[in-house]
Amino acid sequence: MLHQTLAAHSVLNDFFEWVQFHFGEHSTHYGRSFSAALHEALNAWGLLEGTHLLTLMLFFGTIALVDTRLLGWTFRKTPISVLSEKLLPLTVTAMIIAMITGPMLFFAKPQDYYHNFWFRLKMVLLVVAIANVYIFHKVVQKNQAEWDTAETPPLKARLSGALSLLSWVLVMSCGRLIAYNFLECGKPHSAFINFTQECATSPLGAVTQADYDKQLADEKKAADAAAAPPPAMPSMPDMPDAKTAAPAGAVKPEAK
Amino acid sequence: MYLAQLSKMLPESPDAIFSKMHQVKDWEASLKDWPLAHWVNTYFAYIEIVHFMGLFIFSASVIVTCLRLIGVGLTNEPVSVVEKNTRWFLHIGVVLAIGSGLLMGVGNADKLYNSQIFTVKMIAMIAGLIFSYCVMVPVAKAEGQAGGLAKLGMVIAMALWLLALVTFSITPTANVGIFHILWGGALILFIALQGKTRWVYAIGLLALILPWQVITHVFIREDLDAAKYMVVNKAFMYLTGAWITGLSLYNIFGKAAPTGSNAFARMTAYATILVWVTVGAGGRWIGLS
Repeated sequence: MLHQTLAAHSVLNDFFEWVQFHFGEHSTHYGRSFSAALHEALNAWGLLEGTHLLTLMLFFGTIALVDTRLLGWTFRKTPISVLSEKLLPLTVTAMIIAMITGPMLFFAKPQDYYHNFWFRLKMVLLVVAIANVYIFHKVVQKNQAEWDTAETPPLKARLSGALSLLSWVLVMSCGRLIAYNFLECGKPHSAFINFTQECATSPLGAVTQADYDKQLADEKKAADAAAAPPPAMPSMPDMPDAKTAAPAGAVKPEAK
Repeated sequence: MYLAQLSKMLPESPDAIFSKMHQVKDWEASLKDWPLAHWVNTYFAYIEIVHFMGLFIFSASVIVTCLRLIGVGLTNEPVSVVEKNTRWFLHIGVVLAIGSGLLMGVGNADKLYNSQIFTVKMIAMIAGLIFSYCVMVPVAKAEGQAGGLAKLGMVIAMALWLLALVTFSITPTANVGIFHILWGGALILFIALQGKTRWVYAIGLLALILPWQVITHVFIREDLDAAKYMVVNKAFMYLTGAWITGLSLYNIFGKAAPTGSNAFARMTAYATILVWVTVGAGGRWIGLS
């Protein structure tokens, strides 16, 4: 059956459902949860969303320059350490603000985001990007003094820069795609998408293309059945034709 | 003689102008039937990603060059070096953003044609291009010194930006987007101010934001008393705007910062970043209003 929620249990799904729909419902007007109240709060929502986007621009703007320096594309005459030292405070400031506003935005619709493919991919890519930063500091930077002023840094530094740039571009892209609902649970998707979004535990359920095709076929069948003309009544030769038969006692009009 | 030539180029009567406008409207209405429009609507999400990437890429150039003009960020390098190294970010980003923006426009022609906030975005975008290419770049190349082109560009772009801001603030259902521009200014100022002034500014800002949020979400709410809510919102917008503008002016016209930074350069930097924030906020509110 379409839109059928499977019995699979997800603790996180239940928790986010409680947060999105019930947390704080007795403390707000109209019995809305805190999440719903935040999402509908024009000023607070605008402040959060706007600040998140602005800080992401600052974050990406500064980190992209460091990454392209590692790739040997920009500031080739500037030592990498100097560039990092000057730009990193801005990057970190932006990151801290984005790390505060991001979870607050998530709080507005936690269950929806939890079952959102792009949100999940963004989180995975975020982990990749952060792991790359960690590896850069622990491994790649070990002998930075040897190539700090090199116009084209060694391969491992260039690889780290490329991975960083790519992962942040993808993180930002996934962030934007979260707003689109074409991969929403409850719509027909491949088994892979249904699995990665845990649609089976979402309120909209998991729908495969086969389910959807079957439902369309059933609906078509039902519509065809409804549109078909009713079966003809069996004819009764003994009965006079209602249109031509004159009522009893009526006088036929004379022909003129 | 020139006037005579000019008059020949102008439409003969107001009716002729309206006739031209109708032609534009008809052309706009036909856009949705273009195969390109169908293609755009199929891949809209991915085209928007390119649009966003364009914005992010050129913001790298604008933010870093402008912060250097203010006297923060890459202060070890001359402004001209910062501009030279980030120039391609500006070019690539602008091409991506405008190219994808045109495509998005084809897919949404009807909505945009009737959108006042889209007009705001377009005016701000022209101002942004003038600020970036005719003011920021020449000023940065000249190590913060302003030539004739930069001064002329500043006057024209500033006038256009103010027009966009005023139109934004009187556009119903979208004027709350002005707060994005204020937050943009607030963020630049937080980075630009140094020492104690930065913290005095931050505390002052919080002292305005917190009561505003509490009042408009607890005491005077939009869904209960929209008229009062708007008055309170506007009052806080003016107060916050005055606080941010006042300290920005103090930062712009205050004592000289590192080489390449002077009052004109700092004014250029603030305006260039904020005009692009206005473009972004306009885009956001096309979708929301």
